[in-house]
Amino acid sequence: MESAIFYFFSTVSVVAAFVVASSRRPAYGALALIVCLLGVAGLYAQLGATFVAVVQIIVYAGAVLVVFLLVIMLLGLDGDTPFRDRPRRLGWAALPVGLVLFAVLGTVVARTSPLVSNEATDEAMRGTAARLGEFLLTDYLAPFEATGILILVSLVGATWLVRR
Amino acid sequence: MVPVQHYLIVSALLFAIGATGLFFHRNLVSIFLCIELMLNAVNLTFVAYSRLAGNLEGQAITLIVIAVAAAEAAVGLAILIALHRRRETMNVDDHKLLSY
Repeated sequence: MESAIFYFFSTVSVVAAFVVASSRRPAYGALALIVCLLGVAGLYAQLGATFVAVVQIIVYAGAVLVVFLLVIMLLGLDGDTPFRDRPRRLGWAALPVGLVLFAVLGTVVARTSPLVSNEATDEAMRGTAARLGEFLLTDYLAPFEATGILILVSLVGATWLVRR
Repeated sequence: MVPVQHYLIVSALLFAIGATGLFFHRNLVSIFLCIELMLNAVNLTFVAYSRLAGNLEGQAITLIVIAVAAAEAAVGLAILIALHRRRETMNVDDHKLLSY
């Protein structure tokens, strides 16, 4: 049952990723990316990272991708031929690049020792939302606060960039 | 329990697909979407290894990466809007001021 759920979510996200990478229209690509993010959120939940899965759905699929769609539709990027995406002249050369990249990454994964979690790690993953919050506000306090500053700066930067 | 290696393979697959799309497209928006896809694949690796190690560091890093990706999307889309105002095209081959 568990592996059936895993294969369902991974198939959904990989197929949606193919649509993102191959779709000529950015709006379809953005919609497919939402599906892909939801599939990956399912994988997070299966790995025991329930809080990360919820954040992925609300912030990533919910907010970031909706802003993407908003910009695509606001600027009319999905309409007439000048904005339609044709592959680059050497666009098909991207395929061997991707295959080689996957071969390298797959070799690295295959060469690591067999990875199966045990009782101890299962126990450590229980009740992650509360423990993750505590972890973020103690051990990871500096990166956490730095992220806050980064978001503030990027907000100001984004508003400055789109000024008239 | 599905071995963590399977999650890593899915993640490698998503990353490779994202990289392929990155080189394949010439629409700036589609390239941007492929970058988001690659970020997401890396996040999956972090969570899978966090599960394997039995600690929360990978999940904490993933949360921070999601926040950074949101910031990146805000700035990137602002640049996109500014480019669109200046030149009515999203084709990367038309924006080569910095290329040579």
